[in-house]
Amino acid sequence: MLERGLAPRIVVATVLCGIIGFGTARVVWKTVLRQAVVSFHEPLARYTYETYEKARCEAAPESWSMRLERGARAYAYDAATLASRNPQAPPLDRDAWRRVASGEQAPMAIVAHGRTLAAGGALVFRAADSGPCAIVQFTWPEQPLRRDSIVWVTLGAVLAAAAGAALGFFAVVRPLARRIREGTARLEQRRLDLQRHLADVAHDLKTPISSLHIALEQAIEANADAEVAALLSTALHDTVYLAALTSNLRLASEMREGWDPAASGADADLTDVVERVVARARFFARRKGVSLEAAVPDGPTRTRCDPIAAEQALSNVVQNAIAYGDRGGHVAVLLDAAGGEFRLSVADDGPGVPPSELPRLGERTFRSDEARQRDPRGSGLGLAITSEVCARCGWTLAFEREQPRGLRVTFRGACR
Amino acid sequence: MDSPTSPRVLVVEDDAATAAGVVRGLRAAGFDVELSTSGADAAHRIGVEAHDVVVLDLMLPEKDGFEVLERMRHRTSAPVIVLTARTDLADRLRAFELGAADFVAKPFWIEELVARIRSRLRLAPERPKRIVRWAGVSLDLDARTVLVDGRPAPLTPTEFAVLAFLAERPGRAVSRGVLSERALASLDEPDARTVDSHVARLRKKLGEGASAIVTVWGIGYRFDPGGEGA
Repeated sequence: MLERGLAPRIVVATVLCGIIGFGTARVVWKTVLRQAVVSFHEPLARYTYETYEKARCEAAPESWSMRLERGARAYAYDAATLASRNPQAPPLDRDAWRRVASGEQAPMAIVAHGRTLAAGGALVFRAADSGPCAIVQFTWPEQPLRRDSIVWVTLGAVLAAAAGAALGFFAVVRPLARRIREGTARLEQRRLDLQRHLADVAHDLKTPISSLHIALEQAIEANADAEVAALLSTALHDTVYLAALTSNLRLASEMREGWDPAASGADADLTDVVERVVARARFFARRKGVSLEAAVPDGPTRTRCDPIAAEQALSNVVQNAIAYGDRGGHVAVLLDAAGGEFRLSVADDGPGVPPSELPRLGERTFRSDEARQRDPRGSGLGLAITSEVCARCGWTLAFEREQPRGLRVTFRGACR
Repeated sequence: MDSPTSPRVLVVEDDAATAAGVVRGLRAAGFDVELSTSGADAAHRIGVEAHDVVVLDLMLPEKDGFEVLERMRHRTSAPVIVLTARTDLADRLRAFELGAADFVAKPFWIEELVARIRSRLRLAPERPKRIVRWAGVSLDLDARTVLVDGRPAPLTPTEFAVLAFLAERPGRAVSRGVLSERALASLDEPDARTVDSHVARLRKKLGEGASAIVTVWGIGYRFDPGGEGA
């Protein structure tokens, strides 16, 4: 399911968004509060002070203070020393001290105390140019939040996060997932159509390749000119390659469509498979001047794999060995079975493969573009199909160098 | 010109180019070939005319090859070699179920088709000969004796076992491993090199007849009394 695993991510993302939102709200709230203190409370405090308290302060600055409800206090400070004559006064707020010392005249609100929304703070304004009552500071303490407020705020935050997550899921993720699913289904259908088309094309190609093959075979027989015969031989070898390519394309598209050679319900008799492959490849080998021999056990060698797929897998390796072999070279196919396992090897004394490329031969998958290229030693689609069939049928495929030259390809697997 | 005794082959193939090639190739190989280009025509002809072999394409207009196979099943005893671009196992099995004798996937070598027709035309599978004679050698597989130029050859039991094992599988390559296991079974530790040394001694004792034991690259040996190459 496309949405699987998304729900916790959405919750986490929503909580993170909530935290960021909370931080932003706190900054905004402090700014607004500061502005409110300066715009409204400062004139009120100044008016109260100047009307009712200024004379009292100037009369006895060492004892003057104002006490308001809920812990709010006011003290006066000297313009020159920025200290209060009243020994009970707290020092001037540090931020305000710095600003007053630097000559700032405007009233200032400091809302910085505490960590909760019920922040304490200070309001500082200049009441006279000089003297012990020149600067007045109102302070109010942080008000502790009530427990039920905390519960409600937390619950509200959680519910808001859940609502946000649900909204995100149903309004965005679900429709998006549906669109992606529909798009994927369309692509999958297109891919299947293409595979089917490819399989049909591969099938349709066989008839013209077949007639071309026969025509070339007969043209070579009829042509006495060695040069022309050599050209025709090259063309004939190409038709052999084309025929193998179409078979491989068809098998590849069938496997991509989900067909499993190990679950086709038919067992392959490898003795029969080797005999069929060698019987057919012998004609190609003879044309190429390569000796092809095979040795099989007297009886059947059954294994769990579709016989057509097994035939194609072996045929690709044998055809490669012949195609890249030198005139006068040898190809040997050897099948033996012991202890419930079979070993099928194809050895040749052809040009072989550089040691650095040996591991890559087995690694290629039939999906790789590189594998489609026809490069020396046929390490293209054919070998990739062989690897794929081996993997699906539970066989191993090994490539080794033959001494003094050549390649040995060995299939191993379980007998039935 | 076809001789009056040339085997008659009916080719049922609708693709003109393939049909022309097959007919030409089979005639060149000495067969008396007739061509039918549709399933309906083939179904009509089979049973009316006598053929030794039928080469049948499965993809035909009007009636497909399977239908033709089904119709001719009880009307002719001629072996049918099915020729097809289809490679599905199901098609192959269905063709065999409907009585096809052999199956050749397109594209194919004319030589291959000729070889398969010839093998179908053999009256009966040859039984393995129990007395094999070649190049002055007479090998009696039942009596377990070997005469070279009329005189008993002094083969050891192991050498005889190797020769008999190969001679019982004429034309088939046998690996050193199999020879070692199956023919040298009485030895304590049989191995591939021991096989080579036994074969070398065996060849020496067979004189001219040694040519029948052909070394097969990468595998081992093959008994080939006719001296045919691979």
